[in-house]
Amino acid sequence: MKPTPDTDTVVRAPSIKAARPKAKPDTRRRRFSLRSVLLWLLLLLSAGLFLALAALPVGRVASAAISVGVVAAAFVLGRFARRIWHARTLTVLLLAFVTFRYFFWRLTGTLPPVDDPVNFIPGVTLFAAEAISFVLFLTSLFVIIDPIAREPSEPKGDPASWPSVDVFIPSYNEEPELLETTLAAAVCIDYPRDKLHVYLLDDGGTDQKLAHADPDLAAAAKVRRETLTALCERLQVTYMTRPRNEHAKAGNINHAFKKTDGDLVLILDADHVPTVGILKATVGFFQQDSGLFLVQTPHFFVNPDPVEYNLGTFERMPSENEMFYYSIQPGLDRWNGSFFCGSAALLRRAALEEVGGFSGDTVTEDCETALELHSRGWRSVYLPRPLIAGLQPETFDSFIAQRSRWTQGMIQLFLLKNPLFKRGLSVPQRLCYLSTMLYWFFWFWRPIFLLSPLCYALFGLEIYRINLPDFACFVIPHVFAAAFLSQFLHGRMRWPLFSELYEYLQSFHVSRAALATLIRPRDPVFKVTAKGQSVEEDGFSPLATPFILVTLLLMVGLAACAWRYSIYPEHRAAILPVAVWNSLSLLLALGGLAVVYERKRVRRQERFTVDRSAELTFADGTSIDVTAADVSAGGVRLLVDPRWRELLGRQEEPVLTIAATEAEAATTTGVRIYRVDMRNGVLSVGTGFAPRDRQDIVEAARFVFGNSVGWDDFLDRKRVGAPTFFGGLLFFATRVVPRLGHVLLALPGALRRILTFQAP
Amino acid sequence: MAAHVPQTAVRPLMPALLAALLLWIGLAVPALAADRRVIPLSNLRDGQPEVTLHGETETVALRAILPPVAGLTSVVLALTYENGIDILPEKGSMAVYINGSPVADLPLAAFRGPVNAAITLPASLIRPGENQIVFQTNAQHRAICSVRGTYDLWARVNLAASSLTLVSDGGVPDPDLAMMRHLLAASDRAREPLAIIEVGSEADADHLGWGAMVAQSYGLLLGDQTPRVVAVPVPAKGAAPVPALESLPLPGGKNVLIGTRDRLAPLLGEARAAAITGPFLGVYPIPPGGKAGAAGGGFVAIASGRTPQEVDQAVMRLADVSRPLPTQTAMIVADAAPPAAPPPRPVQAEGRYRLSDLGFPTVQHSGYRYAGRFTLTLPTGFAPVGDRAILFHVDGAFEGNLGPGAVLNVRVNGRPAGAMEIDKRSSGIIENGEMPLPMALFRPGPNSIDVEAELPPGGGTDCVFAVRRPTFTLLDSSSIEIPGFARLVTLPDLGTLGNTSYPYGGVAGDEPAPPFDLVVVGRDPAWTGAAWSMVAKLAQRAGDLMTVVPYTGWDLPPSDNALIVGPVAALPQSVFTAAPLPGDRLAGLLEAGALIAQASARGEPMPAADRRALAERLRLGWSGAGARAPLRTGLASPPPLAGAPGSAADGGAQSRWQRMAGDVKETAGAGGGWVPEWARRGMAAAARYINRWTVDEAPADVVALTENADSLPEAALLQYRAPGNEALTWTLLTASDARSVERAMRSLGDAGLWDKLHGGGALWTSASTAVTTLEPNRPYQLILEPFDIGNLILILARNLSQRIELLFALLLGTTLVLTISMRLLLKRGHQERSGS
Repeated sequence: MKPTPDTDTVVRAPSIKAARPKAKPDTRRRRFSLRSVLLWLLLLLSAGLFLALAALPVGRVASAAISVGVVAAAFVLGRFARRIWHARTLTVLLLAFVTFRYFFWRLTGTLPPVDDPVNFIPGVTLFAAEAISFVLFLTSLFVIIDPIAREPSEPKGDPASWPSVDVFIPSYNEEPELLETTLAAAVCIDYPRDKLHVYLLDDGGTDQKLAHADPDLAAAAKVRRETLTALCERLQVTYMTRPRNEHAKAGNINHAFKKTDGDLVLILDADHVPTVGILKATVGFFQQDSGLFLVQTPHFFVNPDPVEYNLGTFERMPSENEMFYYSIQPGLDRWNGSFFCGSAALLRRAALEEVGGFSGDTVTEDCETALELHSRGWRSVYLPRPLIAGLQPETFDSFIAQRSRWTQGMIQLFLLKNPLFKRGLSVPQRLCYLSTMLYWFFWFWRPIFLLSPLCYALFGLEIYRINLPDFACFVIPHVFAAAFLSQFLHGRMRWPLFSELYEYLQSFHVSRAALATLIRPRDPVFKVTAKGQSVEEDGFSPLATPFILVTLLLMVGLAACAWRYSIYPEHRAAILPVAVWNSLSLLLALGGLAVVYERKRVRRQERFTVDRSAELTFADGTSIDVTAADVSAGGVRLLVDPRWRELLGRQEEPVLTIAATEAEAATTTGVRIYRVDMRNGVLSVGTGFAPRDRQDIVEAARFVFGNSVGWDDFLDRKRVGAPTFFGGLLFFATRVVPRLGHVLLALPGALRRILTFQAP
Repeated sequence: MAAHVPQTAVRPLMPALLAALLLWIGLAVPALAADRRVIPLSNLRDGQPEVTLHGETETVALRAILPPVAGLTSVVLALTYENGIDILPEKGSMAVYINGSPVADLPLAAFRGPVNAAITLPASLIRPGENQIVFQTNAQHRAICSVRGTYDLWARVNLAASSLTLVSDGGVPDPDLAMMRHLLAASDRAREPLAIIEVGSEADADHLGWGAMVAQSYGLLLGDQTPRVVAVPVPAKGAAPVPALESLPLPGGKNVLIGTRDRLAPLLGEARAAAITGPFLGVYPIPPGGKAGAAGGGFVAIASGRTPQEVDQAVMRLADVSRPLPTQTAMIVADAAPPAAPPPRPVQAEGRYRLSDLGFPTVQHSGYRYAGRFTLTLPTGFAPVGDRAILFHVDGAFEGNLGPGAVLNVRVNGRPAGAMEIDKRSSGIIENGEMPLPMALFRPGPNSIDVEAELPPGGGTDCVFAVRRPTFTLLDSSSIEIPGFARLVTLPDLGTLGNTSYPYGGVAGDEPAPPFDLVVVGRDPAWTGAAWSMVAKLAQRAGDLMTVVPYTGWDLPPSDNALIVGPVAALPQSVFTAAPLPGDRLAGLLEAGALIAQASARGEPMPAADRRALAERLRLGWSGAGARAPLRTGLASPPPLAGAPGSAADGGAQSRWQRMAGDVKETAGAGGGWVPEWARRGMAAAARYINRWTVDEAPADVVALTENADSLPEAALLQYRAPGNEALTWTLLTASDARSVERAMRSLGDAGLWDKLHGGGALWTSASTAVTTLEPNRPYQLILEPFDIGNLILILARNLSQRIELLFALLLGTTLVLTISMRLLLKRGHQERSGS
């Protein structure tokens, strides 16, 4: 993008019209140049031939041979993919070819006959599920074919000319301690003081809440408002609330939006703690492009979600959202399709004003707003740097509540503002949004994929006409190539079977919300995701019932396959593929069971490993040298020489001074000693922050969230340990199998409760 | 009604019956002269004159066409049969059915040698025209009650020694036109050839063409039996005294005389000739006595007219078997419409067919081995993709105490195609059991699918305790599912020719095969007869009359597909330009084969040493040791290969035939008229290039043909691509001399060699029942339905399935181009978006 003449001076456009992105005068002419026409012709011809070859009904031996050849070629080309764009794209296309072949074969050779409705109807349903996921596969390939890797863009010019930024931190029911961390980090953001304004937008203390009919709730709201007002005064943050809780989060932000005037708006969720450099890394983009409305950054989570926690993968495997933030969003960015994700994003006020603020027709106001602005020609940018640290839902039911809202919102968008028919969007943008929205129909295809083998195993329905040779020559190459492709594209971020596991875990409960939305698209209302909940003891989640039943059904299905295999020799060629499919489903179902059998979880701050020299000074002036070993938003763990054990036992709050480094300034704050343990010949001292004043709060926040280098290291450490495809399968098994003992022990009780119509 | 007359029962009654018969004859003779018509059962089918029924139960049906006889008084079915020694007599029988009614239940106790049985049938049971004789055996092993034991069970009916005798008061009445068709197909004269009488010593194109039409209709009337047609020359006026019609030396009772009135008049006589006042059809009986009329019912049919055009009309009306002829002895053809196309033969295209649709009823078999058969008829051009399969969905049931190893086997065209394990663990019900049958085993035309269930008993093989035998039921709800296949003909292929007549006849794709040139080179009538026999057989397999353009002699190479018949030494060199064997070597080979076959026919087989010496001389000649030496002094030195030995073509007649063929072409082409000619030519050119990718040329090894000196061929049927750019097919039928071709054509039918044809060439001798097959040396492909995208895709898939390296290279190339074009298109946008 060429910088506009006013790049280094004015960010806020003098008028809305002036802020509209201007089409480059030569773009249209170039689009129709002879060269591009010829290139398009070549592209279309080669794409047509590519599809024709994929559709060619060569025999199964030829097909299998081609698949093997393609996978081998892709394996070799994949070695050069990081360095050579062409090698990456060739690899992707070759592997996709196998899937194309499978799909055409599936379409032409495996559907039950129409005159057999008992098989045809479920067969077509299964095919429809495959077809939708195939369309998603295609659009996803388009999205990620040419991703952009951006670097931070610092603001340029005289700081006095930098755009002013309003930081909006909407809150509804979060605890003050949680908010304190976020607010403290926000005020620490490295940006000219006169151009940075932090707002706590409290929807938990609105006039409506204060006047609630229930006196207890009204009193609680009043206390909340007073507490947060005091907190804001202490941190020099503007507390803002509103008369009524209308339009949920979007309404809250819009209310503040009208009362503020910053050129840019930084939106942070209440539990999203920003780094000090968040604005320095992003504001420059707005200076470079006056048509830019959004810079989105990834959401980096410091706590495990229920899957990560219950399977123990958090420390070893990248989180679920990393594929989206580090593979898909850079791909979307290429097509100017990167969209607002609700937090950790900087937006241009002028653009928002053009559409009347944040949209509130759906419960995913973020994506909706981005869709509106993209359709009006505004541009977006995605910066793949973790610049905030947030919290994920920690219990399975809060996780499901969050995903239900996202699903509802995306389905609302699909129905109410379908990108395929939305005026103003470019074709690539339509495909990008379509891809994003289609994903949220996983609740349709995932259970179908999972349960389809039961149609044959239990009822003998032949909904997918296949035999062993076809299975070997078409299905296995497809599955392998698809897994290889996934591994190739996202292997560092998403390990085998975990995508399927997440979809499976969400699908049953999300489907209820999704179906309700399909029937009444305008009904869903915004529900705040609960964070910081805890699990008191080991046991099945209240939402575990469908997973238990599905697992049992699949076990019965596998047994039925064995029975059929023994008693129907003439059908063995069909039974074996079903049994393999059923087994894979069962493996996934067992994984699901291992997740919904939740481990006891106490709430605690997540810690990051550091290695910084520090000094602990007591009230009597005694100072001892210590080492800061790890840090969390709540405190620091120190390593101390054992000879100071007695000193550490005093009931006082010493002052911790962490020494400066080349990159970071020294930090001084009061701490409280909670425990002292001897580990490996060294005293391990747990401390909590006990700030003496605002300065301590700010410095502690700056220390903890000062920069995201540690986060990058944390992410990279997990990515470099990515296994191969088969290693990933083994990893999955090693995460699930050890949990099954507990699960099986608890299963009879859970079943008993299910049979008596209680939650397990 | 049924006469169960086992041999053992017949013997004590014989003297009494004989006496009664003699008395009856003695009384009856003065009153009337009885007609006794004996039909050997060997007349009812081609091939070996015997029927063998295997296993515990098997059914064989024979089709007998009986002539109309007046006053039928007695019908006797005489059978000679034998059976294996292992059949338990108490449990073995052979039931005989006539037209569905049981007439005998013969015991299978004939293991000491053949036994005779005579079954007197009520006259009302049979009817003029088509009748069906069915043999059905039921047998059980004496000692081994297991699957293996069933292979010892057999019964054989000696057809040559068995007969159906019709005794009537009036014999066959004088024929009329309607009756003539029955008489043509009647089984009592099945071994007699159809004689087409040729007036004049010089064969002309008209006569060849008319004869070809009549021969085709004869082939259609005969059903499955191989037609034999001979040409009988009669000297024209002036050359020699013309005999009267009644005194013609005819080879049999089935004769057709064709020609213009003027040409036939000397033969017919004034009175008969005067009746020809337009397109004329008539039939005259041949008086009893003499070779032709010995048995009565012989006839000479006349197709004539005042002009060749009127003869055309008469011949076409005679050949049109879809329209009955009137019950009168002569007629002037008033409805001169061209023969109507018969309803298309049912063929099974892509789709699912229940066995009941294929004429296979539900069967229940009690025993240890069931064998059944049904036929799947695939269209011309059936060309499946390499390893795809036709699915056989089996619905069936079995019960009884089955042992391990129970299996349901399926064979396609005699080759193992699939098996389904059935054993005691199964439920007893087979519901939609899926068995893939490789499509490569199927071919265009009829395909025989044999289903065999082996049901070993669970409790050992002791027959004493084998009270309850396993039962197997194959339900007619079972189905065959045919996936999509390409419509592509790969030629040369005598198998396709033998099964479907393509490219000369039949329907290929949506269009009938185009007219073809019938070229006869050779003065001897045997060549004309051979050509007519060929077209008659082709019409039979095509199921319809074909349109021919006749040529006698060789002026120019044919411009269409051609069937060329002539002596190998008289054929011009241009015939062999593209043939798989060089003309001179083929001539030497066939001459040598003729010598051996002739010796065998005389009953003096050539000694093995002489045969080997003969073969050695051939090889020496081919190795270039010297010029081709005459093989035997008795055989005249062959004339030079070049040049056209036949008479100059009758330009007027040929143009008329060409015009008629052109009309057919236009009619046939009307359906596909939307496709411009240039597109057709372009597609043909593309097909030529595809040929280059997909076919391997394999020249025939002539020397290898002499390795087995015991059966050097005396006749050859070669198919190859005509010289030039057009994808035209020539099929050459040749031998060294007229007697050889007569013998060869007879053995083609009698020995059942027609069904053994495949590949690019067949060489055979009447001295043997073996056929030597030549692989196609330069295969080429014809795309049927060339403007059907689906068909083109399937053709491409079929061809690329055989060239995986080509497919892979194409894929890599395409992907590379796609990648590069994407990169070039995306690069600028990427730079703009990333700001780099």
